[in-house]
Amino acid sequence: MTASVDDLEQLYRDRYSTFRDILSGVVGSHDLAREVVQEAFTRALRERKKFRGDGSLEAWVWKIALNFALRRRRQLRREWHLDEYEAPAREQPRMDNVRDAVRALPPRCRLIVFLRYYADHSYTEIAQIVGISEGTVASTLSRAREELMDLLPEEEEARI
Amino acid sequence: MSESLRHEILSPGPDDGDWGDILKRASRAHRRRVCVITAVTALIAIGVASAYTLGHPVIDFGSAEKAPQHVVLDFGALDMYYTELMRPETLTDQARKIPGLTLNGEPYALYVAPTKRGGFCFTAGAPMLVGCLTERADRKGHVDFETVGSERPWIPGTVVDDRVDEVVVSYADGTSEKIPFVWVTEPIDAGFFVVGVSDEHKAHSARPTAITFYDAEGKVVGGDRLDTPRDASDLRPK
Repeated sequence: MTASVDDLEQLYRDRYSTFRDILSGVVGSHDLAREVVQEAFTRALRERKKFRGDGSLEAWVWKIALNFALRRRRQLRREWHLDEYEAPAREQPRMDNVRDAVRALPPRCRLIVFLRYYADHSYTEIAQIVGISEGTVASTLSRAREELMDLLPEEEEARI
Repeated sequence: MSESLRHEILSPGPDDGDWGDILKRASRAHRRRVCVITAVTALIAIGVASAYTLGHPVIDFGSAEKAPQHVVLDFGALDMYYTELMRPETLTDQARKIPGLTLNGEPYALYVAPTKRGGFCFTAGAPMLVGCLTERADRKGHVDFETVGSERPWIPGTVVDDRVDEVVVSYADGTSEKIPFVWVTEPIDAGFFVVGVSDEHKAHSARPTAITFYDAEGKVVGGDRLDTPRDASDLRPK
């Protein structure tokens, strides 16, 4: 099974903003994120015959986009490693809002939070995109929820 | 997660998606591949000097002539000069001779070989210049060059950004000139150029000062200032 040009175009039109906004959290700006998204979809279009259909087309494009984003991040000479999630030290200052708390999460954890709660990907898709097990996705999200729960309004807690 | 919470965590950006741009980028890459056979045939039929009228030649790595044994051995020796962590691990049996470059009117011998980690090593010219690019993604928009030789200085370089359509050298006297380069297909997927420093540009006031990369639309996509010493006669191999 390969991806058609129409499939990719539809995906682009439906999900461009989601790709761009999440990746802006990786590369640091909307402009750079846009460039990453354009490069990723260009690569996906050129190599669409390599899509084997063993996951969703969106997850496949996400993997391409994430590789480009990590490369661009390294180009900017910022340290950005997909580290294991580590519980924050007790002496870390309390964050005043959810945005600061999310941004304080380790990079891989933050990305998984974005992919789950911003892009609405399943655990399976997130595992494919990031290259980890579904169990690790689950445990990472569980820890992130613990970190964020205190900062969320009651009505949001139920949605996480 | 509610929309308002999403917006609080990640600010939405402008509505600037452009599928037409995707199609243009993809067709540029396709044109480059289509030109491969034509460029190689042209190089053989009309000679190296004329080939640049086609734009920059694209050399198909798989069809290129295999490198001679002494070059294969040179590539194999590279690992000795690096620490274990940095070893390029050149795939020496895939070394190829790349035609198409000249220096001061003479053919410029260039050999390339891919590495296990997706980069490449090259050896070029006389005196021999050897280098490896093991992390290509970090060098997408940069010039990789060495300034070599004291009597006939020249500036060899590599390009790993496939948007590059033109390489231009600028001089301190305000002039500039386009530098021919050849692009080698995957697994190398990089361009190579060499520019000789002519007598008129050896003086400090006219020395090479920068190399700039332009895409097909004339937009700057990378480049580097050249770290040339005050007097071109002081140029030393790095």
